Amino acid sequence: METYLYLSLIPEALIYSQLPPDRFGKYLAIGDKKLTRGPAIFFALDPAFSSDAFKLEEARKKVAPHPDGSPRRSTYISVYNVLANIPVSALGKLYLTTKDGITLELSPTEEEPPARQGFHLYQEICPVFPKVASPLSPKAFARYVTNPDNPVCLPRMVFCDLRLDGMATDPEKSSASNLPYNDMNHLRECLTSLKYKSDKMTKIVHRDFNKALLYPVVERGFYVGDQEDFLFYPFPGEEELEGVHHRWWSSATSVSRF
Amino acid sequence: MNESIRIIVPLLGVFGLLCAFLIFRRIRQLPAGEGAISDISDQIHQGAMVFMKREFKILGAFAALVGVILWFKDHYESIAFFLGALASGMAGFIGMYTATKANVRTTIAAYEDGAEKALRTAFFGGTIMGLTVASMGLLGVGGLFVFFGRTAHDIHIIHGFAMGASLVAIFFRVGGGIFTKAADVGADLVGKVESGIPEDDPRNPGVIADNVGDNVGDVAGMGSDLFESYCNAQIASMAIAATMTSDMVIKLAGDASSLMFLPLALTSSGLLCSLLGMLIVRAAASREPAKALRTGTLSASVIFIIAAFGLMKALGVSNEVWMCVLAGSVGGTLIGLATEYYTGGRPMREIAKSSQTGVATVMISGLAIGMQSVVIPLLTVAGILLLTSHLAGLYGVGIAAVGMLSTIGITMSIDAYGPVADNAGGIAEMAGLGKKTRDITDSLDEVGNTTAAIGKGFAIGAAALASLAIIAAYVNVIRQHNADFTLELSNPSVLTGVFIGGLLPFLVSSITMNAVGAAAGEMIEEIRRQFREIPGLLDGAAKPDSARCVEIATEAAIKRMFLPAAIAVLSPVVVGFGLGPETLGGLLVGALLGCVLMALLMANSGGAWDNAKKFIEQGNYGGKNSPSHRACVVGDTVGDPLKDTSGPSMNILINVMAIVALVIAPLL
Repeated sequence: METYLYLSLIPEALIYSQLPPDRFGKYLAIGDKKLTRGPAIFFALDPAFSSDAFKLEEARKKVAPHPDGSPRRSTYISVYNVLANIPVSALGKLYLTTKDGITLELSPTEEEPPARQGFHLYQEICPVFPKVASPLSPKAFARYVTNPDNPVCLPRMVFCDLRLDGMATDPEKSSASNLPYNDMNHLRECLTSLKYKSDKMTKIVHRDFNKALLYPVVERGFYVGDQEDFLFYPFPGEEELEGVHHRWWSSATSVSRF
Repeated sequence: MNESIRIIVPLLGVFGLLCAFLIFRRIRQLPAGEGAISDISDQIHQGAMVFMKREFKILGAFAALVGVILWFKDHYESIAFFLGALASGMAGFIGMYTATKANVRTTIAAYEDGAEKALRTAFFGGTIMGLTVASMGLLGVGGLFVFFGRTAHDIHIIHGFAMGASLVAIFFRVGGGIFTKAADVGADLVGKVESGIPEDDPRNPGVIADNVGDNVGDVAGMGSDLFESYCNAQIASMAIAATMTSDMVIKLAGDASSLMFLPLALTSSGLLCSLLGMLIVRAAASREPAKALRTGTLSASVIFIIAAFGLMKALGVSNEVWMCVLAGSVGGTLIGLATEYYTGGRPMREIAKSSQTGVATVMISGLAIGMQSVVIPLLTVAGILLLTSHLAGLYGVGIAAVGMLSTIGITMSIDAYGPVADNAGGIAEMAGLGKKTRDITDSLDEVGNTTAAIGKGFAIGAAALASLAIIAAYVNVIRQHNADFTLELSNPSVLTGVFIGGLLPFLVSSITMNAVGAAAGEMIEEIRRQFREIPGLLDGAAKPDSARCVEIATEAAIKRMFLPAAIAVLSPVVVGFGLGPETLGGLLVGALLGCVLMALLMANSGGAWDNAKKFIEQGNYGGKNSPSHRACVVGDTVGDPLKDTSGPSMNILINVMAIVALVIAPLL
């Protein structure tokens, strides 16, 4: 039975599993007996990955099927400070699982997304998770946040950019009727404050992470970066999501009545 | 009046059925897809047939019991009762059979040929129901009129037909309403029960029942509802004409037989006008779906009003009666437009706006709008009542109801189009036919939702006028053996009846609403069992037992519709024989007002909540997934059993009570 190594971002953990990504995503999102419910985001790592920061060999020995022959669903290796100890180069595909347990696979590219004008709204996902407004492009943002010269910095970070539509270029006057965020006035004020303080590179919009409202508002994709490396996981356009990944997209955008 | 022209009415009924058959044959020749598509549509069709068969079994037993009781009153009336039940049941069966054949053909038309062909297929799928309802009415009422319409004394026999139609209607409407929402809620709750199974996933055992439910509620339920109002309006008008004073007869026509025949003449010409309207929709199918359907309906109404004028002249009926037809027809359109305004216009957008401040304000504004929405329809009905009774006495009220319902052929077609388009979208989704096909079926479904809302308003208005006419006929029948009979508000017996009648719509609404939750619970248990006991169901290796889910929902619906049906049938009998005809008259008045108010409130609040949610999904107030959207989803969920279960039951409740009262009136 094949063994997989996954880096889960919600919550941060390094896990061995005998489940392939789609079944592992489902397991993370809704649990074995449906005890939990919520989206999951995780990277696949090369199972041969080695690091002195983790007791990988010890954990690997425990990865064996159950007595009834069913695959081992999870063997936790670490649940703290995981991303900081895994280089970007070790990260494979990224998997996005909906609250219903349906998984979408994204492949990385080292290219940056095409540059665009205006402000950005970033949802930091790991290791911290505030929502941040910034004038910086994704790669520049990753470099800025992981810059050790800054008073506060992170060793490495996973984040995605969120839709701002017209607010990106005209935060004061643009209509925001199609943006589903909680407090639009606050977002408008944050973006406007960046507009008038050109030396300010980041502004926290919210300290929390609304997991239920992530996939429907992703703008261009997911990013992971530090001072040296940067990977971009392009998110499919709405046409492709509606067509090719319809089942995933329906689940990602549905609002449960009950 | 030339007696031989009476035969034209049932012959036109046969002609209408022939047209429906030819359309059905044409639809059947269209490609029905293969593989997964054909499999899904077959399951929906089989599910619909399972529901019909189960319902017919129970209905048969109940009808037999009532028929036997009626046999002791009058043999012929009992036979007419069975014919009414049979005609209504057949109309529902044919409508369900054909709608569940047309849905997949609409999907294929959208996939292979585009929007125009898909619109034609969905619309003509609905026309079979429309034509069947109108034709069965003409064949049944017209056929009985040929035999029993010669003398005023025999006309009561035809009341049995109306009672039979009403009995079927209450079973189809109440049972269908419970079924459709139980299946909908059950399918939605699957996500809570089992992992990775979204609402429209083919592995979801409840999804077929959900699609069947659309047809059960909006095809069979709405069809039997309108069929009953259609027959009741004609029969009540005949009954009033038969018991009219000679002064009034002379004022309006010269002979009573012309006035007794007039409702049938109007509905006959209404059938022909509906056929013309259908051809107009066909010709306009290249335009926007909403415009094409609207053009067809309005054209049919205008042509009908002109034709009605010619008919009056030919039968020697006064212009006052034509004005009653005009009032009914215009009133029906006004009520429909008011419904459209409240469920799709500015009030609906106000609900959407209120969602910015949370669920509570959505609920408050939705209820407020529902309450406000009764004003125009009630004033319209009051205006029609005042105007028509001034013009032609109580006969005018009945004729206004006939005028409103004469073009039922096309009105019902457009109502039945909705679930066909809805199902077509569901099949496209389940079969994974891609965005382009879904976009077409979504656009057809969007129009279907508006037509459904208008149809509900129209059905309420029609039921209100039809029952007003029956109440008027009830008073006339009682007066035949009790000349001093009056319904005066100063009489405590009448007032007692008003209060008892007023409570009935609330009692029945509460029973039907609770029934949805209980029936959905039984569905959930079955779905849970299937996931537990069918190996490979989650992986898609095994197929769900969808038929069992349909059976469970059917059984649950049937079990829970008995009490409302019994209340509707028995309350006039108990009050009439126990407290007297005055109290029964008061009961009908109280129930009529309560039913109409509740029906409008529930239909319009529910429709407005539904559309407010869709309005937000189009990108307003934060769009899909926003806090506003989530607030409106709650409103829509609360509104669902209001607009699809309890609200529609109100139309039938008042009509059944009124027709039972009319049938027992000679015995009181």
